[in-house]
Amino acid sequence: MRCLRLGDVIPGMILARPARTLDGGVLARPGLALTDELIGRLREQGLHELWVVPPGSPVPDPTVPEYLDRYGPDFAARLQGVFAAAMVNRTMQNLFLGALGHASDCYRRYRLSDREDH
Amino acid sequence: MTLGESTVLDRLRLIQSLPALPMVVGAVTRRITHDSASSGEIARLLGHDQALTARVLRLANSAFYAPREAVRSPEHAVVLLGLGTVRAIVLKASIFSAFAVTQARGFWLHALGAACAARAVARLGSLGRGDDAFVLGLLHDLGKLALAEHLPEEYALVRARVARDGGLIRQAEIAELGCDHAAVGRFLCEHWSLPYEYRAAIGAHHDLDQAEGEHQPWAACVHIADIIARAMLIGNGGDQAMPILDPRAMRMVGLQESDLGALFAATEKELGKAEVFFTIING
Repeated sequence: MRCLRLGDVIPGMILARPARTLDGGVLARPGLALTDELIGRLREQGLHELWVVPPGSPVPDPTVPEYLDRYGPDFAARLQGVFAAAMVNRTMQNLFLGALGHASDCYRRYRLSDREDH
Repeated sequence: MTLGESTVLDRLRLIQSLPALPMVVGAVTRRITHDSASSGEIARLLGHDQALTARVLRLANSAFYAPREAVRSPEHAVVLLGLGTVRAIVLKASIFSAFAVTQARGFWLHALGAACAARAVARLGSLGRGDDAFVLGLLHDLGKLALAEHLPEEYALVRARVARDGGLIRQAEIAELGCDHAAVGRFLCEHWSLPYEYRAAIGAHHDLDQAEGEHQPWAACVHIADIIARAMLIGNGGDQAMPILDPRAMRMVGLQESDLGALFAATEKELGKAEVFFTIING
């Protein structure tokens, strides 16, 4: 499964995660084979990325796409912002480091490796 | 001038439209809490509410559970899903639909993230009963919904304060209203006669001393889960800040600080199972 920029999506690829509007509405459901027309419609709706699998591949188990997407390239800065006023003791510092390590691991698994495979 | 906790709760009490839970929800919740509840009995209770029955059947027939053959009877669905999942569906669908206020998607994601984290805390620690923990995590910010709907002008001030000053939404609630969403959540649990551990866990998830001794571990479970969900950037609890982890909390649930890494991983795994639940109970 890969998260691709819309310009990199090729007709025939299968949608692996729901394509959603910003307010959560579902525009297209997983399992749908993407066509030029559908890709164009999704672009018109303001989408920039889609989670896809190659043509003919099974759609993986369901996972909320926001959970995969939440660790974008700015994850370290966002975590620092959330923890900014909370580094008051060693426990909280360890919690921050644990969260940072987990986010880094997820970013590598969900984002970088998919793009490298592609 | 702040309103104060008694004023806020008095105003909620006076609101005639404060919703009552459907009778079937109370009955199902109480029976599932009782250890001797049977799937047949729960299915018969569910049968009084067609919409709830339909949701339970939809989830049981979904690709996630992948039954070998179609699940057509509520009893079969209850056996397949388990009593804890059925209770989560019933409470989530009923309680949150009782509020008309539209919440941002981030609110639901945070609730579901806390639910997944609470299940991980309960399973990795000594509490067990992961499904109960899931429900508590899902409902822990119930008070925010009631405040946003029934005191909209006052709650707008709370949001404005968070936007202006940063910090925790709980601190802004106390500054503007004189009480926080946890106290309101406890009040709602009492209003709906939910099990006592719900009142304790939801009412004390920011201050463990607000829970009586035997219920403190459940409050600690939700306290940790809320923090884990925030640390994993799951959804939005109304602010972009981090509460301080109570130093007693991990011990209360049978875990150590060194288990935090395992909690992150276990919560991530739980999230992978969450979409079907999220979609169907909102559908």
